[in-house]
Amino acid sequence: MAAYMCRSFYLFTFQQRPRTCLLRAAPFAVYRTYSNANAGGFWEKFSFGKHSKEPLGTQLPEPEPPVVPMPSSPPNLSYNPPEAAELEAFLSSVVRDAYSTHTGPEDWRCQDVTSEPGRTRLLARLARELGRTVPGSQLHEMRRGDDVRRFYSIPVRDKNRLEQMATKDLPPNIKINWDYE
Amino acid sequence: MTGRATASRFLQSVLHNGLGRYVCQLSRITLAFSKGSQTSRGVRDYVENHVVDFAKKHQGTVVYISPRRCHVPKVTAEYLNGGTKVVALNSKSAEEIAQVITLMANQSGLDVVRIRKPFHTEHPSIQGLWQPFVNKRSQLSPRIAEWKGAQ
Repeated sequence: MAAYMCRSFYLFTFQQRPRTCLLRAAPFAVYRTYSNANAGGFWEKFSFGKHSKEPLGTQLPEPEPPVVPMPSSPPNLSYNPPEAAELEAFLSSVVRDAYSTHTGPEDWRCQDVTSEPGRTRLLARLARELGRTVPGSQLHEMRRGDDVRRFYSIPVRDKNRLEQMATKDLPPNIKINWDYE
Repeated sequence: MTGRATASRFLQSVLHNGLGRYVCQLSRITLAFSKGSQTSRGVRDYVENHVVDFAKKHQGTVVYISPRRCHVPKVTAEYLNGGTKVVALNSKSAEEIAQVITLMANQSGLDVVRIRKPFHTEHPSIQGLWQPFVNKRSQLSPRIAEWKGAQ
């Protein structure tokens, strides 16, 4: 009983091995009763391994092949800022909403964006709307509204120059092999 | 080591190139480099900025650009006479690489070894080489006359 519990049971339940190894890991003792002679006696209440114990594998469904989650494609890191005037108008409204200030039209640039909870609200909303998050290495630079405006006006190029060559018009005698081994 | 021990060849051009139109002997050139390695920096610079100009200047040459994982970036030149030449470009700048590639484009596929004579001709003699019966009366050599008549 103990031998039966240790190896085959462990193999099946914890390691999801294919069925071939289960057939090898049969219980060490299987007693088959071919006659019904002592079927109803006192001692027959206790099995002692007399009944053929089928491996648990035949009762449970077949193990399915492991599902490996496909890696998602890398996020698109390119960022094209909107027009300068549009960006400033948008930023001024967002800064005012985040800090609930009703100041003059140009004061959003001088607005101090280091105080919470306005800072989180502001940066989270900008990340969501414009599609570019301020990276941790540059968070300390975001001190005033003008810093935020400068950050969001810089475009980011995703492709490296080699991949850009695929899109340019190349002369017919250039052949690029894109399989990177 | 003397010149006798090293390889040498006679002056020649491939199929009398230059007698008529000059044909660039470079048939294809392959640039193998790594996308991220430090040693391939010059090659990446060359590929991004200069290779298109080279291709436009040498329109009879096919330029293969193959980025692959390698430590040593190489350029392989294959010529019309079947000769190949491989040059390693690790840690070269884009200008140096341009010089190497221009050199390869100007070469033919013939080996770069010592040339025995700086001249070569298919017809060393126009009027015939001197032999002892030249300018002698023909009675001295009747049998030669017969032999030449029989030919």
